[in-house]
Amino acid sequence: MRSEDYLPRLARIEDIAIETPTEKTFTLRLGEDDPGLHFNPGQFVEISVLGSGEAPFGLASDPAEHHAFQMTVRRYPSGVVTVPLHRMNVGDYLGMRGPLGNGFPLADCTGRDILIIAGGLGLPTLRAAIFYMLARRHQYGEITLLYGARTPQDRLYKETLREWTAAPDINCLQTVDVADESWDGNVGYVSALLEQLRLQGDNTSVFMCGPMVMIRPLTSILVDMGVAETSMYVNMEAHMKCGIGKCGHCLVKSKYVCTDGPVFTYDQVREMQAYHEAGH
Amino acid sequence: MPPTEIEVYALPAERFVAAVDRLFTLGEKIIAPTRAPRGDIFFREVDSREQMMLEGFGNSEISPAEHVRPSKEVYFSYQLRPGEPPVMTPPPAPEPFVIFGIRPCDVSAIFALDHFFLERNPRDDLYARRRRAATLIALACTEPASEACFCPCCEGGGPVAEEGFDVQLTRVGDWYIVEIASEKGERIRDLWKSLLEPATEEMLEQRAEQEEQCIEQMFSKNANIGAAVRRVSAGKVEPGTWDEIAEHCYSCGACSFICPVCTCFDVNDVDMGDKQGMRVRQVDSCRTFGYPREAAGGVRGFPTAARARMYANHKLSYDHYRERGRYGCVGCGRCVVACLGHMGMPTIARLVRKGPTAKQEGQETQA
Repeated sequence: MRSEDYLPRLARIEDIAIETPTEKTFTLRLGEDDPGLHFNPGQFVEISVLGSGEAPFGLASDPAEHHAFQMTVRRYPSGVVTVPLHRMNVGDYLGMRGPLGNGFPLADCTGRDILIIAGGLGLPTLRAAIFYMLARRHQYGEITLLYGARTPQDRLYKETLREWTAAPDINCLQTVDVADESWDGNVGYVSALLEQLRLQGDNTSVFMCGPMVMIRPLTSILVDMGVAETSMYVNMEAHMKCGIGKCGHCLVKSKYVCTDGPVFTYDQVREMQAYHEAGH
Repeated sequence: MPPTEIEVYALPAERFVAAVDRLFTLGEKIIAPTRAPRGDIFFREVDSREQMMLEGFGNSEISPAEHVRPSKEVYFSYQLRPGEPPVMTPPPAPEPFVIFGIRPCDVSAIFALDHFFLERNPRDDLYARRRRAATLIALACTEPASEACFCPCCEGGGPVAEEGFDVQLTRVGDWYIVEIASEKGERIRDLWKSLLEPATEEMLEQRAEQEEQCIEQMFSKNANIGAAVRRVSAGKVEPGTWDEIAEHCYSCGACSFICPVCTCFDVNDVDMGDKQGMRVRQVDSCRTFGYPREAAGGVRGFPTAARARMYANHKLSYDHYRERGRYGCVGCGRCVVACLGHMGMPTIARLVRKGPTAKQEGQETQA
């Protein structure tokens, strides 16, 4: 990759889906003369709203699709990029650089059972991973998704979740912290769902994305179930400005989240977190 | 730049002026040390020899590395068009230029920048274009270039550069030793052909002696950056050290803004009105409060001490050695001058080595 890479490619907004009051999923289409976006689930793109700036977003769509892709964006009240992005309309143009980062090692996990755990806004890149694996279903053992959200309305991709719940080739389990009258599913933390699973620990690879307060307790349960920390993969989030390991913003000790990650094994994550917490 | 065998020549001192004059026949921009009205040295574009400092000038306020990696650089300019795709235009490629009179510490810094931006994937094209256009004519130090420099304490450092330049001149008595180290340098050699003589063993011996004497006079000969590197890398820094450094830190970022080796930057879109603007990158400093700012504008708990540790870690740990081909300090001493809290790199290195109660650098070691 060269850093004409600082010059974004153009993508046109083809569709905007409202997921929750603060989150929208954008479907972007690249021009016909564009070589296309060939990505590995877990990779991200830097999206430009020209005049406002650039920010990283995980790729949420089926990686088999090369000229259209999706990303889900939460609007933060003071977001330099997310606020103007949420104001954009179908037909508007955005800049795109990528794919960037490493992605999940899905091709290395064939023959194994797959457990996917997502919390809240952690689902997008894992959604891309599920699309990838369902397209190669015979290559994997059991595929299980645990998804936790604060409320039923805070869940992303409600339609996709409905399909997966009904589908025979993936075990899709959801839970919410706080239920409402529309919800007759699980209430409680993801850890409660996890404890009910019967895993074949030594043959299971785990892919996770979500807040660290969720992930940390899950990993000790997983270790008890016999899953090695090196088989637990976490999609990390950081303030990545350049996306190509130069600007220094996402650096944690020796790791650039943008180029060494954003997917790390949990033993690496633990080391990075320990460094953070040691503080000074 | 493939490493080539360094060719060594001698230039009689009385022909030095003629050699400098010939640079202006290259038809390239010449960046050279100039003296500002109050005596400070700045590397600026010059039109003739009269505007330049040729000898006896101290270290420049800002490193000439600035011309290779500017503190502010345009990625592209854009024009928004309603209903149509915007147009993005990268800036034109930089014209070839010569930096004359760059000191060995700054040569060493550019060596590190080359590794950081060019050798590691992905390559930084913006840097590559500018670097390709640059020819470095170094002027080795025969005496300390400032009251703060400590280059011999840094790996690859010293009053005479060993690598990284295209041409290096070292004054030895009535001669300049001229070293040619690259294809770009060979161009300068050809330009100076009729002025150059063969160098003698004696001149080189004299230079080595002179180098020793120069090191003797330096502000700090014992900054021992290497020992600090070992401690930072092993995580064996005494408790309280970062707090002590933070105690003296105003979080102004001056140390890293002025550091020729620091590479971190921020990226912003600048609206110029009329639906036009540009995206620029600007140097950024991990020592400032806002550096670890997260999406949504929040700054996570990241106290000054943690940022001091981040700075030291990025500059001094083995983890980051490979990305620069050396440690993140070349001993130019600019942070020593810039820091309001008297926490330049030699002091940081000293505290890292000896713990938070170590005396100020210079108290024991100043010659």
